[in-house]
Amino acid sequence: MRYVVVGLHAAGRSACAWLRKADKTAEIVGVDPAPMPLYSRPLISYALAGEMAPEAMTVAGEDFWTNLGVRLVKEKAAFLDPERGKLTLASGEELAYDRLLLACGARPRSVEAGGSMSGEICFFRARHDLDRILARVNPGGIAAVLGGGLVGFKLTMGLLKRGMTVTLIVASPRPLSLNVDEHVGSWVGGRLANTPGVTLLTSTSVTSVEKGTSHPLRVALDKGGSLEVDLVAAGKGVVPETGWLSGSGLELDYGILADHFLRTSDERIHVAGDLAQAPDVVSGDRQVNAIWPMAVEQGRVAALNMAGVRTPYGGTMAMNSIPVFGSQMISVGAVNPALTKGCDLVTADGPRGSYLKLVFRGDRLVGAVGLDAPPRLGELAFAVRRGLRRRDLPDWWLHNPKSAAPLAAPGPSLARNAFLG
Amino acid sequence: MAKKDLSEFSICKDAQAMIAKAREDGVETAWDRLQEQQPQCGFCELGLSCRNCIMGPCRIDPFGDGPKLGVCGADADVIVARNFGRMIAAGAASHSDHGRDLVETLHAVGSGTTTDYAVRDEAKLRRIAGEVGLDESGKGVNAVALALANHFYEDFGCRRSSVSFIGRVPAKRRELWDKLDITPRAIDREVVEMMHRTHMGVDNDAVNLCLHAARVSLADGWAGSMIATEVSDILFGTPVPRTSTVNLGVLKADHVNILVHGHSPIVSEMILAAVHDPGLLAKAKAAGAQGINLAGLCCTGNELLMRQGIPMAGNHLMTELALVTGAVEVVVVDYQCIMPSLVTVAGCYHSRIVTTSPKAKFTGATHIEFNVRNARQKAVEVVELAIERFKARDQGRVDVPVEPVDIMTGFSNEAVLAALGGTAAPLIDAIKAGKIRGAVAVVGCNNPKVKQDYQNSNLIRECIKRDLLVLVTGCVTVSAGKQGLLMPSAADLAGPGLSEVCKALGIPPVLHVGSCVDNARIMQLCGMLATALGVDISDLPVAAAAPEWYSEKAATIGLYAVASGVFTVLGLAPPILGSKVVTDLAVSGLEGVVGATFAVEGDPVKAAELIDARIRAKRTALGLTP
Amino acid sequence: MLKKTVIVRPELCVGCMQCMIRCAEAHSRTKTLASAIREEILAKPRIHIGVGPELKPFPNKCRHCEPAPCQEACMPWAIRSDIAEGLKIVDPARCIGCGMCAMACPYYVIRYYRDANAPERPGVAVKCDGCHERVAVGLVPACVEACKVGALTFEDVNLYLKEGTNRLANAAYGVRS
Repeated sequence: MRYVVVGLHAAGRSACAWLRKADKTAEIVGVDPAPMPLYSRPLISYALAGEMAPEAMTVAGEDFWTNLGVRLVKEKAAFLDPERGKLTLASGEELAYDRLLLACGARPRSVEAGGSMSGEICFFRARHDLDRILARVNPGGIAAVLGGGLVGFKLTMGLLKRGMTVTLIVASPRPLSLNVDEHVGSWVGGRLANTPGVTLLTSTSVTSVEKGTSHPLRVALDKGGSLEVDLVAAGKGVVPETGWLSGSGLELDYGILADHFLRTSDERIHVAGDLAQAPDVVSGDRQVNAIWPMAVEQGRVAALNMAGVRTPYGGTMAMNSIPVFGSQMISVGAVNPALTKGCDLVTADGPRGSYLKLVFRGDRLVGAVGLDAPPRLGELAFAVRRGLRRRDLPDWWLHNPKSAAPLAAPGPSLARNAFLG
Repeated sequence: MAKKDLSEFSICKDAQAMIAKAREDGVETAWDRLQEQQPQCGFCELGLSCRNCIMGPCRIDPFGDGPKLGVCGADADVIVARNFGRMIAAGAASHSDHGRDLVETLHAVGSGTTTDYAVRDEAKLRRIAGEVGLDESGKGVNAVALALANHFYEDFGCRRSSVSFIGRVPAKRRELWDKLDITPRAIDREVVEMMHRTHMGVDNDAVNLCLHAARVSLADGWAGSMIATEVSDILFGTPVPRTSTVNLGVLKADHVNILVHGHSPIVSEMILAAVHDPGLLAKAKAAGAQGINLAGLCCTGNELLMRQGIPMAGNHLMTELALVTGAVEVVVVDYQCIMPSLVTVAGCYHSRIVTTSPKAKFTGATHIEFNVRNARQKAVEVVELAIERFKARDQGRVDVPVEPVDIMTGFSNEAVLAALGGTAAPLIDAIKAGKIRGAVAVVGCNNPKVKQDYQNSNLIRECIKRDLLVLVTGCVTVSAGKQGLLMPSAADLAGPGLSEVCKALGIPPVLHVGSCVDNARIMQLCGMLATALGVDISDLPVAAAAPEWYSEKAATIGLYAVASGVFTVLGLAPPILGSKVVTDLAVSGLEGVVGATFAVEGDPVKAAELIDARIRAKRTALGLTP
Repeated sequence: MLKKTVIVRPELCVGCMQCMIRCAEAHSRTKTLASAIREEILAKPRIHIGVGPELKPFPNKCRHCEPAPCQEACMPWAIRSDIAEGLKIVDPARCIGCGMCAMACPYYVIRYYRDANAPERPGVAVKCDGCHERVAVGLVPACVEACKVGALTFEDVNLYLKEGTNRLANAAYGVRS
């Protein structure tokens, strides 16, 4: 039995480990153009902010692969022929498989901007992006950051820490518009705008990047005017790497479509990670949720299914927890207004200075967003995952959610077991 | 417990032998019960739990996450201080109630209500009466006794502004106490006020509570205990040096064995009289015994030892083990430090526990209640019970594991002064010359948390090595005695200066001064020396230590020593560490307040070094060689 | 036989919180209560007592899940399976305090504190480590040792479940055990 895993980052690593647990003797081949150094991409935010040395992003050595007995093929995958069960590599070499896992992730969405220097726009996904940005960072200089999402936010804070002034250019009316609700988004916007060294431009886009005069680059804005900057970095979301699979015959949408067992439309091929468009806990639909814990879990579930261990996938769920200007911001499930139409929005009166909003669709909790709210994200995520019903929440808690306990209790059944006899 | 080596429990052969026998006989001891209690409550160890009201019970989390305040709002400092205050009040109350019973007895003697008791040291009666300002010239002994008893009664109430023996306190110390407002006013008053202050919502300042605790302890050391000691001397005789023996070997397999346990000599002196009764002796012989053997445990044992030379069977952790020998017919008790487990242990043999005080009944014991009118008669009943029990003894289960060790006893202040020729001058000279560099009182109990007698006896050894004269009271008497330290021959273990003085006078380097209330003798001695030198007690090259203490009474003694200016080393930490304020006050802040502090150090060598450092500093300050 | 693990019988818990204080003590530098409470960076308990209906106390600690949601969420791979078998242990040197593990944990057993083992970081994940250092020298976990009422024991989980089966049998046949 030969398992081939394409892409060896969060999902791919997890899958290899679980394939080996499930099958001690099978051949496992990992295909990735750059599997080493073995690092975790999200840590680049910490390295940019100077909170972590770049070397510390490495989490394991090559022995990780040798201990698992994974044969590394350090190449890009170029073409997939599901009918013949063959994967063609960039070199032209063909790799046959019995089971295949597609885990080659996503790439940063490009910026629709023209100009002779638009190629100078840096993205922020992997090591090489970090290196590129660090090469252009200069303390005292000016940076333009495009995109008001989490990556744009982290780029802004990181570059500030590096001593640059930052103009954050956001196409939406407020930052984090896809991740949180209006209240928290506006709060973050307000704090950003009041942060020394940060200029926040909302409802604005960049049209072109040209050579600058006083600074290396000049970005032109759709509303008119331009900025002279040393560095342009963008975080405009990610796009699953489906391009090379367009001729494969696999069903795809935004990502590769997967069922409740993370199987693609070909029963011998599974998908996991940022590439996968899998059933979502809240929407019931299939979604891409490009976050680390989802990728690792999907890698495990897909691997087990590939190895013949029938493992249903619980479903993806959006979730975030980040420190934001000294406060802890959390969001889970459906919170952005585009997704919460028709939902009941309940704001809890928490302790002073805290904010917690719960989103109910019908009787079910489908999302929550909070700022320094007493419940931690884990509790809210768990509550959303198991579909906490509104009627199970005591009224008094909505007026004063001082602890997460009401979210936690799965009901009297647990206590009954404990008292049996 | 089965896995621990016997030598880990005690350094004494008799204890080790009896612990082994207890295991075989299936008898549970304090060591077993300590093991069962492990681990003990961390909050309580630190003093951070409060049960004073039922808005609680409350506890403070010392690691910062949990509650920082009790329901009433008390913080760690207040809770620790309140708990400590109640400990001190309990200790003071115990010593002082013992003192009160003696005053009642003196009153009964004076008013002719009893013929069972009498004044044995009339000279001391008149001397004390004169000291406290009574005119005793021309009055009969009973009249003086009555007047003195009535005078001492007032020490307990609240009609005076200071206690009777305040005159024994050096002037400088009195001034300091007056300035701090901790001069003890009256015994019961201080204790009641402490119970009041520690009620929810009264005194909520840790330092204020601690200062009152100091005052409570002083009302014990310079009043409650001191009255107990002086009246005991008056009624039963002032001790003079004599010899006796100590350890379980004082039990005689062929005799009826009676042990006295508890505190006051009121009961034990009557038992002593009864065991000499010829009629009872005859009954004993008829029952097959060679005689009636009386020995003591703990403080009442100390009282009989000091005054009558009655041997001592053991100290606190020996009380159960004495019964395990299978050779004890009756343990007759009054109150304090008597483990309720003795009833169960006695039940494993033919032994009986006899309680005598309405204040101290033990479920399952035999109660024979004593009062001033029936004491002698009741004592006879106790001995008769013992003789009857002797007949039920299973000789096959008897094991008296050791031979007794000789000791010297009886070093009351009067005896010491007499030995020195009538004044303290020779002692002061020896101190000035550096032959005796200073004096250390090593006092207190046993505690199963530390190896029995190890810290007590080794600290004594370290002190005498450093030419420090050691005075012992209470359970430490037995610790020292069993190691041969209470004999003149122990001078060989002392440093050159102390050794020379002891050999010249024919005394041990370790002097037995009495029971725990007799720590008041040491306070009086300190007062005398300080007054003679024109200094405060805190200037003297003296120190105190309670290396294996367990009881609230011991905490009170430690505090009155410190509040009087004597540096005191405790071998185990009191439950105050949960409050930085109280801990810092105890181990350093008090130096600036009362001129002395506590230290907590179990290791005998390290403790001796702390003491030595204090002695050196004080000697240097007095212009003496360190 | 499975390795021993800490079994919690919440119905026996009296809320004395001894487990918490001894857990913190066991994870301090000096490992003695009197000095542990004076350390510059205080250790914290890894077991917590929740309060339920009618104030019923509920002991809650890490279950060392396999697979562990916290471990899957951890980007710097700071939650390690290779320190002690069967246990998921946070390596404070690798932890970046991002909070992802607490996001993922379904049992709310992870908290964030300054840790003496990584004093330069404002906060790292702190959770039960199975007292693996104590167990390695033959001791039981500190919380188990502290519990006087048997709410926390250190035993083979299958034997514990066997006991539950017997209780069920008694209940089924109408006998109160």
